Amino acid sequence: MGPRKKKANRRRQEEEEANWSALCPDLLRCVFKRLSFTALNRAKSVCSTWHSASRGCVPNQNQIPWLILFPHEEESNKNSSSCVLFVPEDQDKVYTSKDLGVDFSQSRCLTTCGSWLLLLNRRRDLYILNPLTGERIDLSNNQHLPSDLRCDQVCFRIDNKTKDYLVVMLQYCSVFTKKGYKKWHDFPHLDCYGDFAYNQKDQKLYVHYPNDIVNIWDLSGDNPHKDRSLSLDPFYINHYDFPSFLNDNEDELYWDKLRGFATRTAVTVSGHVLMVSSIVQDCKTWYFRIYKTNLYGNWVKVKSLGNEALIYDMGITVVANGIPGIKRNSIYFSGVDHGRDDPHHIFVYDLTTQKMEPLPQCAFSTIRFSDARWFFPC
Amino acid sequence: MSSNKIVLTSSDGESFEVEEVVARKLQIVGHMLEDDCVINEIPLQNVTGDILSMVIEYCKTHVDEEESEEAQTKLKTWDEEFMKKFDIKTLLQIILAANYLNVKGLLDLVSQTIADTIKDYTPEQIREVFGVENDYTEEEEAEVRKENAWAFDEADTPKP
Repeated sequence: MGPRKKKANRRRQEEEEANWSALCPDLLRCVFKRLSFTALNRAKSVCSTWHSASRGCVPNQNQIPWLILFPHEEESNKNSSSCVLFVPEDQDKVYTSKDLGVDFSQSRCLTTCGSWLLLLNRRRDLYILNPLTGERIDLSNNQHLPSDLRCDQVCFRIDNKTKDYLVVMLQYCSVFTKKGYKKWHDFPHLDCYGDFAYNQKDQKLYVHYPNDIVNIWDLSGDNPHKDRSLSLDPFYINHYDFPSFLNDNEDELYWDKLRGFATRTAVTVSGHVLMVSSIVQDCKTWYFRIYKTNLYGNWVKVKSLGNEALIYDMGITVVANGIPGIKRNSIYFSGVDHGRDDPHHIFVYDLTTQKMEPLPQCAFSTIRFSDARWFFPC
Repeated sequence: MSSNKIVLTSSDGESFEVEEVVARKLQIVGHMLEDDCVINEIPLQNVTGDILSMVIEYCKTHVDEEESEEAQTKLKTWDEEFMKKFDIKTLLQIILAANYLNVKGLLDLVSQTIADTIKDYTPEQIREVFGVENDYTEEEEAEVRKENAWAFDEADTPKP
């Protein structure tokens, strides 16, 4: 046998041996972790080897927020129990969730954490739902809840693996619950409520009261108590920090154009607490300003979130450096009280340019929606 | 670094004489050299000549990785062009070779290239392009698809 023929034989033999379904799991995972979340889930159904190799494989770029749009009541003749998912990482594709067995004309999303939604129905039952898998966990009954609860009055955290969760509510009633609790627990001596953010790292709750005072509560045990070891200055919104409030002459114009303002408490990746002030002017124009405490507990304005992005609804920042599909130094916003069914109020705010960046038209054109939230598939 | 030459021999008997610095990019060779520094001919059992020559081409290009942004961009462009040369079957051979020879940069590059190919395909298209046999029963496949139903259900966006 000549060398050429021998080589050809060898080659043919190798092609027979090596094939894509017999590739060792480590090498498959080496490829899989570079896929987007959606592409990885599609790849699972190629064959059983790929499916088992994909188990426990977490995409490198997991921290990309998606927008979930809830159907409007008038969509009910079509399907009021599936949502639309807008995925910025997949060249702005739009997907439809499966039938989630929830009538969204009767249930409202309060907030999100990871892939989980915290929902409240008209019977005032609270439950959490994963719109990707359809998995649902009912929380213990709480008849004190008002049906018009707003998102910034609820804090929700869940661990995707252990399903350990924490839900805190500080409006109308100051209560919290964790996984394993049979009923809601009361906060002692907390009779005045404001906006708040929960810091997973030290299990502390930063409460910003309507009288501008900021208090810290330790939630690590079953009996929350005020943390007096740390004190922060009162925080109030400073209108001088916003554009067109340049001098006293323009003062009148500013108030004339102003349609609303708010402050949101948030926590960074490293556990630093932030105050996020926003104003909305005529023509649905938004501006945001961010404040951090210095060593002495005073609030100072910060120009940039650095390599992080803020998810306004959740009150947290995430790492967003060099990952396609998420923009660093920006705020993911979905309307809050200014019309969550209005695409003008759903945008990514770029802190560098101080401009709102609208989402592509395709995000909103599939359904008439009543509400929208950013969330993190995982 | 010395300009010592090393001969690498493929499974089908093809020999390549390369600089030691290039050969060391193959970590499998690097380890052998550390164990016994007098080797100058190394047989590589699990890789054929055509694939080995590609791996060597990659290692030669990446032999001195400069930090400068300009050099990095140039290398990146070269990587992209290099990967364009291969079909799916060859990519499979290269990922296996990169893994066996332990060339981390190439393993990352080829994994990314394969991921970029997979990402826009449906499972049917992946099976066809990659020549993967569907070993699911109809019920099993329906079950797996149901678990991840949303990933397939691209909403009908009205065409502009």
